Amino acid sequence: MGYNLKKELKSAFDAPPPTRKAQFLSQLDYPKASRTQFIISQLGYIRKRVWILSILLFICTLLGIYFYNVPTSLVWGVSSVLPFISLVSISEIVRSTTYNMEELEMSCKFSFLEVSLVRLGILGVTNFTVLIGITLILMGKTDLGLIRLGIYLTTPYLLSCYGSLFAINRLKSRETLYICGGVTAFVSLLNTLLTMQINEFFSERYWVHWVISFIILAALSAKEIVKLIRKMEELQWNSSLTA
Amino acid sequence: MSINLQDQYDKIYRYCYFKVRNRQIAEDLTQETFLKYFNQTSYINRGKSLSYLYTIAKNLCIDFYRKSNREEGLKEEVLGNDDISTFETNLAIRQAVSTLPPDLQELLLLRFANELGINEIANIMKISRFAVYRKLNKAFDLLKTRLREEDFLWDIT
Repeated sequence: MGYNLKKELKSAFDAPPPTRKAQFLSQLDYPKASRTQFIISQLGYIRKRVWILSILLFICTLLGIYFYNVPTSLVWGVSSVLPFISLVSISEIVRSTTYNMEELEMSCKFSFLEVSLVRLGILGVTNFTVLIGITLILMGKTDLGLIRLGIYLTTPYLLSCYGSLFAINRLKSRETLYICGGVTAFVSLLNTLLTMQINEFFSERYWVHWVISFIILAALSAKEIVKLIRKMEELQWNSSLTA
Repeated sequence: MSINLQDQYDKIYRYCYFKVRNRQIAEDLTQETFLKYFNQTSYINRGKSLSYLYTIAKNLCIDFYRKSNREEGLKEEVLGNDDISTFETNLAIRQAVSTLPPDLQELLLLRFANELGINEIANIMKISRFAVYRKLNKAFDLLKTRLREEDFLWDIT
């Protein structure tokens, strides 16, 4: 049956407009929770290790810059550590599966998708803040520009994100987290080995490779995130009555 | 978040209006549905599904007819087309829909006017998902036949 019929069917059941709607809804007493309250409530559910590790990395970078004046090695060092930040965030995503919390989370007032997206949003903002902070600090110490430094730091991070999300979207077991850990360790090691093996890895010569890798990995990560969201939408069973 | 109360009010009202065909009564039943829903705090805190809201509305409509002994009236009004000329939508479709059995009409309303998922419809109508699909196909086939008889199919395919 054509699309037009479905569209027409929608209006075939139109009722005369209600007259007391606004008055009733304004007087209706129901449990309300604002979006801000919801986001703040989710902050408490993110494990302390995420915050501690993010702060530790930030402090370590500051100390590294203060004690050692070897900017280039610092870039690869930081870019090798950054994937571990992504691992900590990824562990939050798989936590529901690991500890069989999905059913509990799905039966709560907010849908599973909303809860997960809010937590992912908070983690994303945290990671981004750490990343921007480190990039700005390193920028002052090296000759590299903001974009260039940003790409050097985020490409291994994105590779780790993509690898972990790829595993999460295709596997559903308690061992997924270990696989994500393996992916992160591999990315970190690969970054270190490439830096050691290839001379001038952070030079102009390989700049195009970095940019292409960054674009491809960003696109692939985005694709996996969309896939993850679609998977969660299937679990949207409950409803909340908040405005 | 999730449920937009304004939107749900319209949808429940539309559902009640479809059942009782009276603006005032439909609105009374809609408001009673929400009051009953929010009185069941245990359900709200556990995030009871949307179908629960419709179940309350459905039961209230049934109660209304039981109390006023208007079961026959419901059948006649659902099949009739007294209100059709009131609205500016496609009359042919409205008329064709009004000739369908009430359960198929309800199904079409829930699916296309109120945009509910198959699972939710199955819960509201207390039938299986498979039965929902089967009835939807049947409703479409009947609708198609009626429209073809009326020579309106050119407009909808």
